[in-house]
Amino acid sequence: MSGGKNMNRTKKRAVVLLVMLSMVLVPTMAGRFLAPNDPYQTNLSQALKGPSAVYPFGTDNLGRCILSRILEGAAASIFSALAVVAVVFTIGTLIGLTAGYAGGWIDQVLMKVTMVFQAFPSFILAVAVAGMLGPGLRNAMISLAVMYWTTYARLARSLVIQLKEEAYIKAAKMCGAKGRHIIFRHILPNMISPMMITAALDISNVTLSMAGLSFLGLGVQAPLAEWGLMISDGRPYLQTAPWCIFFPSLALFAVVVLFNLTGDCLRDAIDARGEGRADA
Amino acid sequence: MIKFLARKTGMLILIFIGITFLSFCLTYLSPSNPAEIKLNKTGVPPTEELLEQTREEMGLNRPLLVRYGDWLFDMMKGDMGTSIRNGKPVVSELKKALPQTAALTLVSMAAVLLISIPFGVLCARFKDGPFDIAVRFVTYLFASLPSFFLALVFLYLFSVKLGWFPVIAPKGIRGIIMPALVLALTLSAWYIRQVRTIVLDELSKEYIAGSRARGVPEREILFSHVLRNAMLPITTLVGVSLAGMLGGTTIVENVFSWPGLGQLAMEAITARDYPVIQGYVVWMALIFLLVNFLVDLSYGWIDPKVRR
Amino acid sequence: MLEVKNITVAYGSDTVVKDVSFAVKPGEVIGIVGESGSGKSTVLKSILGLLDSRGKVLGGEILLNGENLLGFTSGRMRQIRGKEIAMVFQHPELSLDPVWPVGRSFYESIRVHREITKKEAAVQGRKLLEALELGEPDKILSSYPFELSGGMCQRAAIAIAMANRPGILLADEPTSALDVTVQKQVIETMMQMRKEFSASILIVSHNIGVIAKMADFVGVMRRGQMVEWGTKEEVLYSPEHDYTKALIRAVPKMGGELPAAAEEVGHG
Repeated sequence: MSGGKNMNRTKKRAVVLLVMLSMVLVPTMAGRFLAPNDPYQTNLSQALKGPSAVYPFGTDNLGRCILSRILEGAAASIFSALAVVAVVFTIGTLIGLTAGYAGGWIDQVLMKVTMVFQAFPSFILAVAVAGMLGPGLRNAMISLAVMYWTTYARLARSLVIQLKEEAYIKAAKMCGAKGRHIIFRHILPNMISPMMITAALDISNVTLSMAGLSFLGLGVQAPLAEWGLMISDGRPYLQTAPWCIFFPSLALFAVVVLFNLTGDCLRDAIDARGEGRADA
Repeated sequence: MIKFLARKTGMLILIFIGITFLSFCLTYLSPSNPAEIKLNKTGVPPTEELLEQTREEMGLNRPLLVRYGDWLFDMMKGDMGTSIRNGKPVVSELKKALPQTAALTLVSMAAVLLISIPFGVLCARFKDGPFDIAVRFVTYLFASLPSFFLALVFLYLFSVKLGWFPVIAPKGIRGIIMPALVLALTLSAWYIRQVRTIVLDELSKEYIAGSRARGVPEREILFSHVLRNAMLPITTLVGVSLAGMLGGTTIVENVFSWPGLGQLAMEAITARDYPVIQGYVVWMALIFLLVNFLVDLSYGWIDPKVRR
Repeated sequence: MLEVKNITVAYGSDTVVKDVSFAVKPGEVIGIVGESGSGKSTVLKSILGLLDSRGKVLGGEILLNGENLLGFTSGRMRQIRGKEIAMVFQHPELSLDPVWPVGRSFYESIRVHREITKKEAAVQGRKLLEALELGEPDKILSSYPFELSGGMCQRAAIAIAMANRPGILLADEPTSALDVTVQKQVIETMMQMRKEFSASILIVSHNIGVIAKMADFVGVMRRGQMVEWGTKEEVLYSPEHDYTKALIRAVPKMGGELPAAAEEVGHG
């Protein structure tokens, strides 16, 4: 009874969030077309102008429209984070699955490697990897992947080990089912939900880390638009033109809050469903 | 206790080897090779022949594991090579910056605990009350705030508008306040929620009812029982969260021009000074490892179950 | 001295205790039996005012020497707890602070009610444990709860509960988590305490054997109501209510009669 009520509330929240998320994501995806000005058009006579009708969020030190650059930069800021999450999700799951399913020395070695990666303060490892590889969006994404994959490997491994003990999987094994069949039919489908929750909650972290790397100059390079880089570029004008920093930060903050809310909502929805199943 | 220590030490050695090996391998990621950089530095145009000769001189042609062994051996002796940028020994560069980062981290961590323990305890004590709800809302938003944005807001407010602090942080107490506060505030948002959960967990335990039944006043239950018992999970939290804090120093030192390891690393990255980047990551990882080892040891002091 | 009059207790919208009354006179041992969920533990918690935030006493009175405890402020109630009425729990190692040695809990129990030095408390603790013949008192006082065996810990917990010589000891399933052999020792400790301090004991348990061993009067609770009340002999030897009969029949080896263990203490 109370479960049903919760479920309804979760559903309502999900709808509200989807609307809000699309309000942010759709304009950013269609950024190029919505942008009021050319994001790369420099105009020194219009440099560091405050918000106006032509430039709603003002202009930066080269006279470029900040709103247009925020819209243009969304791709690098948001979609790169989503791509990183997708990559670490896949790599981590593969490693965790291998370790958990194979067991023995393979498991030992893989988990020791994971442990070593986790022994680094993660953002520092990312900074060092990005620093060695040299700046650039692709390298920043690689370094974020190096920083984030361990969570997924460990989670996947523990899920596999847990699932391996389930009666129906033991039964399938005894009936002579092949390893591949067991993994794809029985183990993977049951791992997806908890892994998805972790991934959803991680998107905001990755977005923040990506912005952090860009802010340090290790991500997207000028003149390309990216929020962290825009904020960093605006630093000399903190006093004279604070909008150069304020609006990109606001965009980043809004997106991160939304990702967090969505992640929480997804977790609650999946948890609620899991509970319902346990009851039945 | 001895078994506990032996197991911990074994783990420590394994992780130490892993950390150093991984850091050593990092140099292989760089697109330009060290021999070339060295030649460029001396102004000699790199020909194939010269490159090969330099590689031989630098020992770059030997097998990976041999080179790692040498590198590790040198590192243990306190030699981590010389900075490509200015030719100074890497270790002395790191040593100069380390106290700054250590001070920043310690002050921030102290601030985090001073902020989050009272807030977390109050939230748990008055669960679902207006204070709890307000704090939960604020911490939720703060957790989404990039630390560099908070740092810039602080610069804008306290340096530019109010003029309380210079824009470039001076050394000493006056300089450390702003970077430490920024670092502490971003982490506190997460901490308050964790402390709240820990205290709520303690409050639901049976010894609380037991203490009440013996007539112990609520305030004493909170301070001498709950807080004492919460020490263990909070200590664990400090160890784990140190990683995030060290990562945060990189950004905060950059914004406030605080001359610590993060600042040094960024300068090294700009100059493609690989030995310094390598030294930076090794030192940070070793600090993290050491602190967590100390945290583990402190369990013996905090938790009677480990002590006995 | 303690009189529970027509109390009704609810958790949220669930009424878990309905119109229950009984009295505890000086030196008596009262046993309440009933299966889990019958509301017997809730009665104990209501007496000490330890219901959690959702629980509420809706009606009735709990009189201690003629004063209604339900009307007490939390500050006054605190002075009752541990001093006039003490309590022991099912899991002694959980009901004592896990990071404090037993001696420190003992000291605290006294200190919160009257001024005492640590030394004096230690002396008193040692005396009490010696009287109970619990082996090495100093070792027990310096041990952490997890270091003691379940039975030893429960007996130490009883000593702590009696530190202020309360008139009444409430015991909530004090033997249910212990081995059968140890149960007897714990029961003996409680009976010894009663003799030493002429205290009354109110014990609730689902274990009829334990109740039969200790109680002078027995109440049977079912679904929040007291279905039968009387002297031990009346209730256990010639039960009237069908539920009581069923409870007694359900005890192995009993076949409608008192278990051997009960006979032993009951007649000896």
